[in-house]
Amino acid sequence: MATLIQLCESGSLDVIDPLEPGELPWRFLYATMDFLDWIERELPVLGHNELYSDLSPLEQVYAVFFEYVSGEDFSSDRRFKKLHCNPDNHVWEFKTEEVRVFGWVPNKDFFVCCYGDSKDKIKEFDSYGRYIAQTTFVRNNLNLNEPKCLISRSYSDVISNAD
Amino acid sequence: MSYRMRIDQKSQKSARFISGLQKKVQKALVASGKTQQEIAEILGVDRSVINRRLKGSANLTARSIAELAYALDKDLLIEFVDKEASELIPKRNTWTGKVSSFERSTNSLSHGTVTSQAKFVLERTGS
Repeated sequence: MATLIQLCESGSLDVIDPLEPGELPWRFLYATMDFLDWIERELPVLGHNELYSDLSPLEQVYAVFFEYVSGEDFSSDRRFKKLHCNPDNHVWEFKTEEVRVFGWVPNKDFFVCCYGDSKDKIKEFDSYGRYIAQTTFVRNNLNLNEPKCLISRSYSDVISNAD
Repeated sequence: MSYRMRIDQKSQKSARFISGLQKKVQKALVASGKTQQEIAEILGVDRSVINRRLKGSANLTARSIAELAYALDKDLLIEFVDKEASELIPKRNTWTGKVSSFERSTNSLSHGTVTSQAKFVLERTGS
């Protein structure tokens, strides 16, 4: 079994850094290699509806990652929430206007990104259950120290705020 | 090493500003204690109009923000400030060595290793 740092060293995970030089992180964002591949290949060409957002899907994801890492409050806008349809899987999502990112909380102020997709596609194909199951599968098969995730749904248990 | 998204500086600036603006608007509404319905009645529009403005940045125009300020009995202040003053964000660590906590990676998909510097920050934060 391994720590998050060891999993980064072995190439199973990596740290996403959305900050600029001079900015220090409040929280830490990890990702599987498949998720980074999705960011590289699929996110930049994801469908965009200008009626939904002034920001492209890539910009939306960048913004929510920046706000997570920099310690912004998420309790008032529900853009970071535990999925209720299958609460025992302890899968959380980042929500932007057009994108959903699925993952889990290994420790307070840490998040592991696992899958991402377009909100419209997820709704059209009713894929929430599939993504929750796939995220749980990846977590179960990751050589991460137990407990692999926090089970609380309370914000105060999973994130602290910078202000 | 860490992964950095391929997003240019202009897009980063826009993303941070627009998303931050949306958050400020939502926080102002929550802090006011007013419901969307009450705001809609003050502005003489349907509640769905307020909901759209709050949920999607595309509907958050300068006019809609000004109208919301009117409905919340607030004033607005927009100011252009020097980058050095505006881009300082709260720091969790008191460590004051190198300013950047992670070694910057120019190859966006390089991965698999963590610098000793990053390891120090992660362990310190995780403990």
